[in-house]
Amino acid sequence: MIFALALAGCDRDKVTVQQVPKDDQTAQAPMVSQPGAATVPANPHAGMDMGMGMGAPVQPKLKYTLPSGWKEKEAGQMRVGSFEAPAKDGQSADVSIIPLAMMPPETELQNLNMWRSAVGLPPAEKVESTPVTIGSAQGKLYEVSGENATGRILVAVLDREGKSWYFKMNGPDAVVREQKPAFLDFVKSVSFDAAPATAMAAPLMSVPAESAVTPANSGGPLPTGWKEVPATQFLLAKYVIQGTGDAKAEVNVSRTGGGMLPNVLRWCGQLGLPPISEEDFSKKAQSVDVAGAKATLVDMTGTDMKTGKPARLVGIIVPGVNDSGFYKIMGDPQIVGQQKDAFTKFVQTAKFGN
Amino acid sequence: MLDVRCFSIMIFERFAKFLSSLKLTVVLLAFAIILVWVGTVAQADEGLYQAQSRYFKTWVVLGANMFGHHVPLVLPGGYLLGTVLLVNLMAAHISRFLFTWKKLGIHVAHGGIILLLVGQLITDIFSRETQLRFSEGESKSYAESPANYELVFVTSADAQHNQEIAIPARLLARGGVISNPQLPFSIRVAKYFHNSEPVFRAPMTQSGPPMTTNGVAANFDFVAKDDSKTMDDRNVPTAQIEVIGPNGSLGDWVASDWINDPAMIDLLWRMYAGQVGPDMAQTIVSRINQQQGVEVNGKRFTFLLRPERIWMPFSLTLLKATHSVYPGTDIPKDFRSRVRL
Repeated sequence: MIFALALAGCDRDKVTVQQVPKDDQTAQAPMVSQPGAATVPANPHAGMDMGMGMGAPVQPKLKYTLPSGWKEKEAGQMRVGSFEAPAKDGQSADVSIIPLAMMPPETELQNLNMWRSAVGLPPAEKVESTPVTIGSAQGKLYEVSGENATGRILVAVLDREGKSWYFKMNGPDAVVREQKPAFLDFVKSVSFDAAPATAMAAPLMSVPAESAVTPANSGGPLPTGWKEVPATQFLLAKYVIQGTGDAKAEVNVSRTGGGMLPNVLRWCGQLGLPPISEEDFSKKAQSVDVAGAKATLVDMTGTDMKTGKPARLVGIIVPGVNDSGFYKIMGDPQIVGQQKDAFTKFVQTAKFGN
Repeated sequence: MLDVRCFSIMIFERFAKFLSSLKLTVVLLAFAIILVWVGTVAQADEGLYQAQSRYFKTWVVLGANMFGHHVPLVLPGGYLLGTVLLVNLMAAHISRFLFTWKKLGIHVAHGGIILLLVGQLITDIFSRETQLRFSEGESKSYAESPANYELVFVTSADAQHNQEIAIPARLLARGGVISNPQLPFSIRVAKYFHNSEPVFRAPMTQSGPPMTTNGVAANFDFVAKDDSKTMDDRNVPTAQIEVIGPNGSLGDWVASDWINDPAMIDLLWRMYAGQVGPDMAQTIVSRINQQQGVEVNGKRFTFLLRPERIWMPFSLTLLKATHSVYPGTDIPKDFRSRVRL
């Protein structure tokens, strides 16, 4: 019996290898990968393109007067300045300077709550800040602390030439309080040299791709594997689902008039299918409940006239007062088949024209 | 020679007498009562699966966590008690009862207890508890372990199939370097957290270097967390690994069940949405919902840490799931699933 137990245990600790049918889980999410065995290290800024844009930084050079006792650290990551502000008892506070693309006003409360969360405080319902002199301009000072906070955070923010400059000090409560006067002097001493005259990459965070056109997403997170991309002028939103190799599907959201059948006929044309009569359409169309209304679902397979590859299209038309919402997923038949349910649920929870 | 033989027989007889002794049975049952009580109380501190593993699926119990304290004690574990009880019962039965029709009742009773003990042992050794989660219309040919995880490297085998090389998380927990002939690289386990949680490295809140600059870890730190102790929660592990290819290191990476699992992504979204609003939450979770992989010798390997999958030689499709309650209440009346095999 001891032998049987031992054998059974060993068997479950072995590396196993098997062949399994391809499913969507390995194809959906965008890929972050190491390019080959030969050494090119992964981009240390991969994923951290929140406002910096790709390529060489083009922000102006900062000058400042470092307070007595502060030590400059290696900046790295998103920081253009990183310092350690020591206190008398040996502890220290971390000070950073981070420029980001200027964000919409509503992110002010979101940022404040992110800082509050970092020190264990519950979210605030309104923003509280005080004016602060940063260089030769006026900025805002946020002070995050509280009775049950695990630390204290001071953030001085200056909006300047399309960017928001965050001067942040965080650390133990006593240390940050002790260093607050030095911090205020530090931000007052900041000056900006003119930036070199180079083209700036479009700041990605000003209209974050993942959160653009928010009403469609406000019912919940996007289905797994969906990535929002910039929509054309005739679309309200656009998403791409990447499969393996070149396989992909695209989701378009639009609102238009013109009636249901003419738009379905347009879809038939996109798939190289012959025009469908109204009678055939009514037979093939299915009914879907969307926010209490009856929407129409069509499912067609043909050939993508742009690429010449087999394609499947699932469309849901949600009737509105003056026009209708058109949701369409089209692309690789396998991906569309796998995404059909997720697409339907997305339409049912979206708030466009519903 | 004769003395040695007689001595051996004497020892054997004494041992047999000890094994068939009713006093031994009483002692074993007393230990069983104590063990069950200790394991039951410890479950509050350690959780169900941990308590089962530490007290019942073991030979010896060293120390117990009860009422928030660690109690130093030594007890026979479930395996030891069960084994000795089984041997004791069989030895007592053989030595005391003749196999006659008159003793049929006692034979059946003892046989039932023996069957119970052996059956429990077989179940414990060979059974696996798994779960199959799917929604209506979805088909699956695998079930997932609720407590065990695996680090899986996936590569394309042909147009219809992937090859999956699965490393049990128990191997990751031991650390060290793991190799397999099917992988053109080795994995060195730098860290393993049995339970963990992600912390978004927001530009305005990060204050130290990331775990690694590759993949999801560039935007998320993963910190160890105490093991889950309640039935409506589970451990979500994370491993920091270094992938070592034929030409050297391919960098450190973090694999976690927080990444790629739709249920965990949804949980994260809801948590962040409550703190920073749905739009920012969407931005944040898009940074963790990333496929990670390496490419070696022109072949791409994606990897993920996920609940251990047990593949079945068939698939199940959920046709319809219904949940009805008693009218006017929330009390469940009937759960039904219609599936196609």
